[in-house]
Amino acid sequence: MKNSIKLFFSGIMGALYLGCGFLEIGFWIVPGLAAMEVVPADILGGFVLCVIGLVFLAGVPGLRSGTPGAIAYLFVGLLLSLAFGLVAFLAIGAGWLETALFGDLSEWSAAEMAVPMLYLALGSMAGYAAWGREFFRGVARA
Amino acid sequence: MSKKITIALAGNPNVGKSTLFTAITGKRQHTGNWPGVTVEKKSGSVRHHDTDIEVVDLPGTYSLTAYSQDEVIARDFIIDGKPDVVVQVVDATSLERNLYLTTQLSELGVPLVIALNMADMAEQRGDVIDLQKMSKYLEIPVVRTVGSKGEGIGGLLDAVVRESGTSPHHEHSIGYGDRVEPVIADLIEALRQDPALTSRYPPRWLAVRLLEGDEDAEKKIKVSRARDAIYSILSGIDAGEYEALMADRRYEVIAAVLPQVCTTCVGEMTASDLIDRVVTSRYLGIPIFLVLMWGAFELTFTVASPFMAMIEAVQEYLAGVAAGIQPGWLATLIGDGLIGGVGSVLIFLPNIFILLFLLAILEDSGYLARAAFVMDRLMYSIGLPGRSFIPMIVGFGCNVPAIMATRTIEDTSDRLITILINPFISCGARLPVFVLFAGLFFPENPGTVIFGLYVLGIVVAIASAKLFRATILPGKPAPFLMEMPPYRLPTAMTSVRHMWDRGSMYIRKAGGIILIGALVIWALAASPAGVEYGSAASYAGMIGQAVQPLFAPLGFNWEMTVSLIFGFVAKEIVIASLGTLYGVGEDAGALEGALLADPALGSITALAFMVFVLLYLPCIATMAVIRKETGSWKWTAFSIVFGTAVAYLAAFIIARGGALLFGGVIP
Amino acid sequence: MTGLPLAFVPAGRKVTVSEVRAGPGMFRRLSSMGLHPSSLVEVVCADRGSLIVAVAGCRYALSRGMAMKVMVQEEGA
Ligand SMILES: Nc1nc2c(ncn2[C@@H]2O[C@H](COP(=O)(O)OP(=O)(O)OP(=O)(O)O)[C@@H](O)[C@H]2O)c(=O)[nH]1
Repeated sequence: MKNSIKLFFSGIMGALYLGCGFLEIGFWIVPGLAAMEVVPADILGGFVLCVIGLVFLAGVPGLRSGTPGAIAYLFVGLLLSLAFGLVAFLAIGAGWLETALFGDLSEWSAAEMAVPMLYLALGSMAGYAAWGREFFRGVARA
Repeated sequence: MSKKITIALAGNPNVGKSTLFTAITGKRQHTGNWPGVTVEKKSGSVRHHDTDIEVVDLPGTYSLTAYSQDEVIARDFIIDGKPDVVVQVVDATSLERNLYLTTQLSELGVPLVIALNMADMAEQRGDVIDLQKMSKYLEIPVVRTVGSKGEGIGGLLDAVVRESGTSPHHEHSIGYGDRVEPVIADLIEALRQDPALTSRYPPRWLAVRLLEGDEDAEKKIKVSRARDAIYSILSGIDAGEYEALMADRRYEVIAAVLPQVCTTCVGEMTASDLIDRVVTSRYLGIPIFLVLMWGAFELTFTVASPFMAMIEAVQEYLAGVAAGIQPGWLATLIGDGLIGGVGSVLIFLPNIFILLFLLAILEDSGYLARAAFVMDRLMYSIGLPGRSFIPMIVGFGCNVPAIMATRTIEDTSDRLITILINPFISCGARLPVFVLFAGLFFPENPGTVIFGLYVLGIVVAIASAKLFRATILPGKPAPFLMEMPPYRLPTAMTSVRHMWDRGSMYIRKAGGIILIGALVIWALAASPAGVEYGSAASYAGMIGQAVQPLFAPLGFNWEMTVSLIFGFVAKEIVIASLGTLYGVGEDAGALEGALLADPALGSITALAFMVFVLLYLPCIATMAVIRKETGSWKWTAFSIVFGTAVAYLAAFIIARGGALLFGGVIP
Repeated sequence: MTGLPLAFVPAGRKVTVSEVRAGPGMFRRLSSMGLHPSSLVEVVCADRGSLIVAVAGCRYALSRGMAMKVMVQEEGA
């Protein structure tokens, strides 16, 4: 029962990350393709998204057949997705801070927040809230 | 009445010895969640009631037989340093293996106290350990400690003081059974011929070591007069068989004791194992590692930039103030020497600190050991063991601790190669040069250029390793065998502390050697009296012009030449001296302007310069540590010559190749 | 009584070490790390040639060459 939700979640997140990753790489390689508002052209960032997507997807077969360890892919995927959400957030936050201190804040728009690395991580937050505790009981705090 | 005793903290790697050392003495030691963090013995002291205790933190070791440099240090201190008490720090979550060392230590006959560390982890897992019983069966006092929270320190010191009073010490030794014991008895008999030796070391312990084929014990015998008698006993037996029998017996004893003192809950796959399945999996392992590196890189540059802007603003303000100072020479001293020189370096502290913070997280989480595992195959193909990967990562922070970390590599030629290629790994001190030049001359994509330089450093390191393997240091890398510590969520506190411990060095450097360097260069640029500051007629100009022909093929002007000459002291000085020479004090941010305006400098020359700075001679501190770790001036000189030759060649290719491709003329 | 090399054991399987076919130095080293005849080993990861094993609550990474020298038996066999 619960596993089917996890399966569904992994599949969706994996597909979204992989899709956005390909788009970012595609936009970068073919400059003619105008980047979408919400998906920038960024080859390295696109690679990151692809890897996260693949981690999610790698867990799908195992989750479907009920292999015990398969859940790990979901959690590592969540972890990476959150970590890079944080990276994107900090990078954008630093940009904001610099504009606020030395530039003109009116030039800065909230649209800069719209990068997949950040908004896709919101989905993972939900997943983490639902299942994170269960898994991290095992990883001791130092 | 006050007593003075020395105690040694010994134990397996990564059990928390350094953490406990810090908790006892208050003296901060670098810790990290991977085996082999401590590679040197460090001492500190503490007063407990009326006893002065000198505490010595030792590198980790699995047994008293040493394989690598760090283990030799630990063994020598335990055996020959004659500490009053040895505290064996034991990881409560893996008693069986930890007690193996205990069986060896107790044969040695030194007073022993067990600190049952990581007790919190064991309890959290549901283990129950009966300390009273444990200490009764082992005949050793056992104290529960949690190093990371400072629990149990008082009790531990009580036990240490009590134990230091008990003498003579009982040697509680294991009986090795009917096959082995007679041989041990014969050996002891033979050893008695040399009273000098047996008064230094317990004869039974020596006999056991000899039977186990310990090289260090054999070395002791070689110069002893009991030598012939012992050799005749040893040659009559099958050493391998005895060794196996004795190891078996040790574990039998442990297996007999353990179930009575604790109930453990090992056996299930932990979350840590599940994570390992994913992050070390065949296809995802290396991509995950690369992605994490990219994240670290991204953070280092983006997050630092507002802080850099702030420092720059402060500097600009100070420069404005300095310009008004009378007399004029003082104004240039402060403006050009101090603010232009040291200030140009300080701007980059945010980058360095963020980089170090991320490296600290990498170390504390336990992922570093996995990175070595994932890269093992790749490393093997260039002729190095996977272990060599750890010093390479540590080198991104600073090459000095990285070269020290090679002590855990057993094979000498593996280790030598790892040391020799480390200076090519771009350390934090080189970052300022890259950030400044890449930002100026490649304004469209400075990040890509800097990333490329890091990659170039790694590629050159790898190529050199392959070259050394093929020529001067042939051989096969040792097989990979390394402990994988459990993952821990690093706390912000510890990571910040680690960042600070390593990062404060850069601040001290800025206030010390870089300041001095900047002042020397300022003095050279301002004299002889009456000369125009920083002009070609100054001493600095003369030095630069004298050497500059050497660098002319690379397109470097005399200012750059001077900065490179002084940069061998510390690589930040390259920036500091450019700042001083271009006399940018009056108007901060003008170093950029001055560099851009210089006709000798184009983007090709800038690239050649960055590559040269990346690869050329290691800084003084790195040279000193190479000398110390290789124990040879020859290898140190080799490293200097090789690095500079490679740097010159690479810069030459870029300068000339660029000139050919883009038709630019290099004067 | 010798069984198969540890390198051939799939992930997730628990086995008992029956023999360590290594030189004296390596034998001693493995012993002191807890990998000795009769110890219980669980293979944690095995899909990149080298493997991670769990022995007595510790995790070790072993290269494939090393894992070929450790002979094991299926638990209960
Ligand atoms: N939970 C818990 N963690 C601990 C404890 N003691 C140490 N640690 C953690 O264990 C890790 C290893 O500690 P170190 O002090 O570096 O270990 P070491 O024995 O000096 O290691 P080597 O230098 O490699 O021999 C660090 O990440 C510590 O934060 C403890 O009692 N409980």
